Amino acid sequence: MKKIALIFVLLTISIYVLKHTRLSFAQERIESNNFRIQFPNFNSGAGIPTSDNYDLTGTLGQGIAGEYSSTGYRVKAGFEYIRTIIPFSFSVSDIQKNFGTLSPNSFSSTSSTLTVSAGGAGGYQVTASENTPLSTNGGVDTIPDTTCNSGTCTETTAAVWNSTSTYGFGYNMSGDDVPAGFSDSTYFKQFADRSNSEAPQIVMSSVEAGDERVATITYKVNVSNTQAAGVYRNIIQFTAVPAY
Amino acid sequence: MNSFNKYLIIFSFILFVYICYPNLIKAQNIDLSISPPLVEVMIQPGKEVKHSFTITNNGSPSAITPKLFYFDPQGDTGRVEITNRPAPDWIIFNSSPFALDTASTKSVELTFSPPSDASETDHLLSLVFETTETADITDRNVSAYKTQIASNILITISKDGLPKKSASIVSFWAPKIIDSTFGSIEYKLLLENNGNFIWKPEGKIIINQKNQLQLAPQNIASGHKRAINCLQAEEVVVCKQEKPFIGINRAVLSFSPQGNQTVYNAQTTTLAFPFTIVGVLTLLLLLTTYINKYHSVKSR
Repeated sequence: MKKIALIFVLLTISIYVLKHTRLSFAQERIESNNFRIQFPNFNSGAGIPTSDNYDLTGTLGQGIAGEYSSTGYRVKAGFEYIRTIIPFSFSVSDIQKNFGTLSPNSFSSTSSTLTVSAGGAGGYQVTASENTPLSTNGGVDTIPDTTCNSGTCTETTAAVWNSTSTYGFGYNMSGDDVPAGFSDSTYFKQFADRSNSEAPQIVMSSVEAGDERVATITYKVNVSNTQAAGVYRNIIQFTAVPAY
Repeated sequence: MNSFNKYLIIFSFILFVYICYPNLIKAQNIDLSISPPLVEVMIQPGKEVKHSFTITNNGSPSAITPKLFYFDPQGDTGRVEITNRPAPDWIIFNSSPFALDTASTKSVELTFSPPSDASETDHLLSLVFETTETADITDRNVSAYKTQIASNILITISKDGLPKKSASIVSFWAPKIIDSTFGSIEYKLLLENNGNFIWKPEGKIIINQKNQLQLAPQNIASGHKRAINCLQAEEVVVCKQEKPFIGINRAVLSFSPQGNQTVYNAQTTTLAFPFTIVGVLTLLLLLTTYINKYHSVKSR
């Protein structure tokens, strides 16, 4: 029986290795110490690095006025100073957040992880907004956006929110590339409310290229004794875009 | 069967399921990537060109809708604010929602065909791929997520491929004095595009006629400013002179908007002096002198 179990483990590991081993480099990069060519970019002009003596920036095959006159267009894909095209990626660890049963004068908190890889861009930003405040079906009852302990936090300004006698819905950011206003885990903001024409607010941003930049968004909800019973929902929209 | 064999079998089964069916164990998530993140198109009125964008889903299966909007540049770091203004009708693409399974990709082709009477101007656009929020069929207090990931498209309509570009140097700054013991000289450059078409700078900062810092070719939209960094290998970095020469370091900026012959210049100087080392040596010298004096007085 021990032998069978060990064979099973070895078989599993073999399947894993085969699954993750690339046997063909037909579409991969060809590179040496001096140059690197990636086939999908070759005809699109992904950009060529410069040297001290000459500048090779410009589209491949379409860099001169004569060719522009004949073809009528010129296209560059990717960032000019990077030889290969690096995709821009964004992920959220969940597809929704469940706040559970809301009890009066008691915070309900939960978090998600946001991850950005902008290796090909000179910066990026992620904005967040809500379609409406947390509301029951049809918007009959609403949990208002928090104004924090002192009544001063808005969608643009963070403030301390740790008093259970202050009610509402808000968020905190921590980790890489988060706005400076979130001084610590007690600082919260409201979400920008698109139903009120409020502009989405930056939750992550950087002026540098970066790989696997990770931030945590922490939601907090608190309701009063007079909050109407019901099921409260809204939609949080994240928009991730690289710098141009 | 003894305990060890039992646990080994259970572990092996879990490992097998995890490796062969990883999605059964992963929580649902959103994980999208888009390529390329930037496309720059220059096109004559009346001509047509196509370009494809690839969206990859590494998260849970999603319904995705492509949309195209104008964006407004924000600030001086190349930030983008996506507006609600729809793209011009001469950009054609299939905007129907599509399902994208885990570990799947889809290409969306855009056709750019400005009419022959289109005016020569820039169009700054973002191609947005938007997920649909999940429908919650149970009665729970939730915030559902909707995610947008975008790629930027910079279109210049030009009849001859040589749109007139105009620039100004808003500021070219470096500290006036630094301690060369530890310091480096950081250069800050802010350029303005006061012409009608987007461009990127090509040029260098040359320090003491020897060291060169190459400017990063970062786009500056018409009517906007941008803080320009430098390029090292393929990385955008702060423009910095490490280990400056002792004395006056003269930095000369020289650049042209790409494709334009006009050269713009500016210069700045920085005095680098080893204040710390000199200070420490002076202190030691004074201390030594004082100690010697003290001993000679004492010996009398």
